[in-house]
Amino acid sequence: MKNKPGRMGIAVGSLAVISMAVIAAVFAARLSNNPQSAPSPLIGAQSPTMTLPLLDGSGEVAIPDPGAEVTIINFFASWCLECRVEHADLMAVADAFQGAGVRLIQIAYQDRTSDAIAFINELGVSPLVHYTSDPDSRAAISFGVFGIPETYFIGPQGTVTARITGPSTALQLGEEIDRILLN
Amino acid sequence: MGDASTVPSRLRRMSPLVTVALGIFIVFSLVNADPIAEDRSERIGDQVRCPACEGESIAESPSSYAADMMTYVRELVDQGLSDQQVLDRLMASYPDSQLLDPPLRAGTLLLWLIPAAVLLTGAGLVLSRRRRRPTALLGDNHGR
Amino acid sequence: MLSFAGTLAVWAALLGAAWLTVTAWQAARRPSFSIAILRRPLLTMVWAAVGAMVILLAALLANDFTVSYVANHHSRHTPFPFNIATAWAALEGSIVLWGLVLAGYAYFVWRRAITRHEQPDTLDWGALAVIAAVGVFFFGLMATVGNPFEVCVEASARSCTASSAIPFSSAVGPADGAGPNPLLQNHILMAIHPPLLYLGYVGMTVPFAYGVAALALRRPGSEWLRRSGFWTRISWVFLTAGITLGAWWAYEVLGWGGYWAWDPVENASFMPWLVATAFLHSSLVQERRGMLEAWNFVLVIGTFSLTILGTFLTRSGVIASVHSFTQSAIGPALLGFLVVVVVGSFTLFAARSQQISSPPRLESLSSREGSFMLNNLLLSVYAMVVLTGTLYPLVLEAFSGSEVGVGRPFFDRLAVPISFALLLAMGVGPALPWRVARRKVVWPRVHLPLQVALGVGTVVVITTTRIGYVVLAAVAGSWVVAVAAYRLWTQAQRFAGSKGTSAARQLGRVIRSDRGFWGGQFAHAGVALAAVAIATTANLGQTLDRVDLTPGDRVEFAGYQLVHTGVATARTPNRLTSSAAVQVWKDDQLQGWVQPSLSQFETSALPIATPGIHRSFKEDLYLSLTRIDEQGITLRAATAPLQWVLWVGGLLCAAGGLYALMGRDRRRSRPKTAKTGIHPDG
Repeated sequence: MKNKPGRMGIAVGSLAVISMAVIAAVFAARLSNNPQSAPSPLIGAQSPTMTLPLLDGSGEVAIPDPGAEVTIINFFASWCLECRVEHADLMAVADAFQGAGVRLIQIAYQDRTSDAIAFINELGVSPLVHYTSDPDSRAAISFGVFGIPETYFIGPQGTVTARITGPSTALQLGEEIDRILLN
Repeated sequence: MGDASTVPSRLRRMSPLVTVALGIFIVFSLVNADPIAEDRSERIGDQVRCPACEGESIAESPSSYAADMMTYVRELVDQGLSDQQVLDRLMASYPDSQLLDPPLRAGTLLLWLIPAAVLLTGAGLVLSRRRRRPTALLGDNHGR
Repeated sequence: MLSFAGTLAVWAALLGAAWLTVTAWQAARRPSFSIAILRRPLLTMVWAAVGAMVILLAALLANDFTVSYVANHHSRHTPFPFNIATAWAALEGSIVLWGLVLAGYAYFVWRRAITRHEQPDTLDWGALAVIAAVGVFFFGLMATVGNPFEVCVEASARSCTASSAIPFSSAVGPADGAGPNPLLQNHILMAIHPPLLYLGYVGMTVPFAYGVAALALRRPGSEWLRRSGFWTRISWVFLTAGITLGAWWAYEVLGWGGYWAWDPVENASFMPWLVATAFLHSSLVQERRGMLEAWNFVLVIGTFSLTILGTFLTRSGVIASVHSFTQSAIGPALLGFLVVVVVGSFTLFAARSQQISSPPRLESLSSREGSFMLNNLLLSVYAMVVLTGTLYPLVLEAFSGSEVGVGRPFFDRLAVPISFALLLAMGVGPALPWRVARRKVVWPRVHLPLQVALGVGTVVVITTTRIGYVVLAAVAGSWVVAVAAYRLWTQAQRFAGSKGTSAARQLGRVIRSDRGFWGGQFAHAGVALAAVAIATTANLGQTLDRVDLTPGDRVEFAGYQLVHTGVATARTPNRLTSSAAVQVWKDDQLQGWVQPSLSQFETSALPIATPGIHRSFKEDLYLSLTRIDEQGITLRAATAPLQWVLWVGGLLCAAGGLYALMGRDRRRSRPKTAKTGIHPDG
């Protein structure tokens, strides 16, 4: 039976065609995927807790902020171009939602303290925002940072509710805060 | 064949003994082989894809974020955590796709089964191509 | 202006390819057809493809930033030879190179067909038609979704933000472009290894074309193998050299001290190499013994499909990796072409399979052909492992949404045992005669080599290490080399016996007497060397993880004393390079200076690390920086014992293939005579 190459040829041929169809379908699905949104197991889970030193060395800040309804964690760096884009929006949102108990903490990721300070001095410092450094990247590892900018939202019960990868806009930030506060 | 005739015959008779002796020595040293100089932290780091880079493990990557992750791994290893505990702590906020060594689960079973299936099918095909032992004349020829 | 000329060239090439497909197919179908008519479409395609590349180079050298490709991938300050290499360093340009190489192969297939001693054959014209049809796809890609000659109609400061395919559009261009990816302009090997890989990759089109032509023309048998053997071998040589130099480049540039990461891009070049290697061996079985006819069709289709799959994987951005390109419409086009190729050629194979002759049976597993089958089995499983590991994450994610990563631990676990099995097969195979191996014949051929191999292993255990993989690699590697060397020696003795001279004088004659066989043995020796080097670098190296040094500091590492003496900064037009001077001392002798550096490119945020390597016979000392500033440096150091052997092994493997290739041509031109007693196949 093995000697009948006719049958074998058809078997090999159809096997190749079928596996090809499967692979093609898969790739076609993948090609249309948005590659940006890597799922984070942190969403819906309890936020990591830690304290981080402030950039100016004047003290420490706790994450999540115990006095805040909503804590927004933003990872930035002086070398990150997209972080420049979102800086003003972040500041505006921290200002606008201050009364609602929203606290923004910006964490310098893979950056020298002096460079990070120069960066915020250049783009604007808000007294409402905590700027911290991240020794040994412990905060970035705990939050599962891939590439900055990344922004995380921590709700009243200390649950991480959302993440934005890439530069965030005031609109996005505001919508997510509303969603948390209205729940 | 060849130069066999130029070798004194006593040496020639000893020759297989030399082979066996060397073979035993090698097998013995393989059985008692040194463990590969292993750094547990490095091995754990090999299993984690560096999030800040593409396609490198944190043990390999020269990036400073990978270095920070490795520092954390070493710290956790020094605390006496098991490999799995270290990975669980380090990767708590990262998706499974960041692990380079797929854990054996229902979803990853195929990964191991496909090569095995190809090997078995192929071996079966080769064996089925073999002619039934043809004649008694060739009986002594099944060298390994 | 150049946009217009380039677009014109691309369309001319497309037209030529389509024209050639039709005429070559007619010539193949009707033997009486005058083949002179092939000349014009062929030359149209070839010259147009050359023209497209020349125009692209001209646009790069002339800094014509109105051409979108130039605006997006070139910069005024890109130094030679990287400004040339930019022509194929990015997606659209790489397709231009692909088209050029394909046209080149088409030309030389034609030349070879009409100048050879044997008559050209309808198989040649059929193959030419298939090659041209593949050309239609690639030139079509260039003419539509992947046109590098699009006119830039909207520019930002350093790139082109919108472009138009219409060559008469009013052109604008940035004053300067962003330049190529910094990783791609760091080392001379980057300018060399991609073209080599392309020559190998694209060359696999030729045996595929002969295979498909043989099926389509209902002429299975071995003639297509004889006519395509030259092309299979030369492509294999290019592919081998390209993979070796690619690994070398990764080692010299990427800065993590390794050379192979099982990255999808590496896998994409390795899979066709594995299958092509299987095909090289199994085609010999068919030519010598008439077996494996059907299997050879499967392998040749598989090889070509894997090159297209590899191109798709690396060029569509479907798998993010070090080398990946951004997403574009080229991805789906390549995917569609892959489906057409696989489905089309396997359907043809199935339809013709009744005509593929029933193979004679294997007389014994212990025979040359038996060892080739073992080799084919191992190589196929190997390729399957790499394929599965590369595609599995995508497949699983698409079906279940759950993500899984497959990396080095998985590949190593399966690849290492398969590689050792291959090495052992490589040691036994060449000692086995065809048909049936008698123990009386085989044992004398392998006994002394076995003793040598075990002896080498013993020496390694006593003097160096008892790490299992290293000992095993030393034994297996020296066994492969010793079997070939001993065979060479006994053959030379036989030659000498008949001539009355010393055997040493006859070595060259033996090797020349069967270049195919001995070229293969050189290639085997190269693989054996590579295997030993892989084992030593992976298991015997030491690492020093990140020490902070300020100028004047000294650190002890692996028997070396490293002294950091200072930092130098050099500014070239496109980058700022800070390098650390490190003295390497050993036993109070200054061995040399090493200068690892970090380069900050104007156009890239993160610095690129370039390692510094101190080479010696025993090992490489590999130094790389992760930080350099006013306070000092952070240094990583590693040793890689016998690293140079890996490069030598890889290149010896390619050289062996080249030598075998020369034999193939000689053998063909020789009249067929009865085998003499000195033939190594016993």
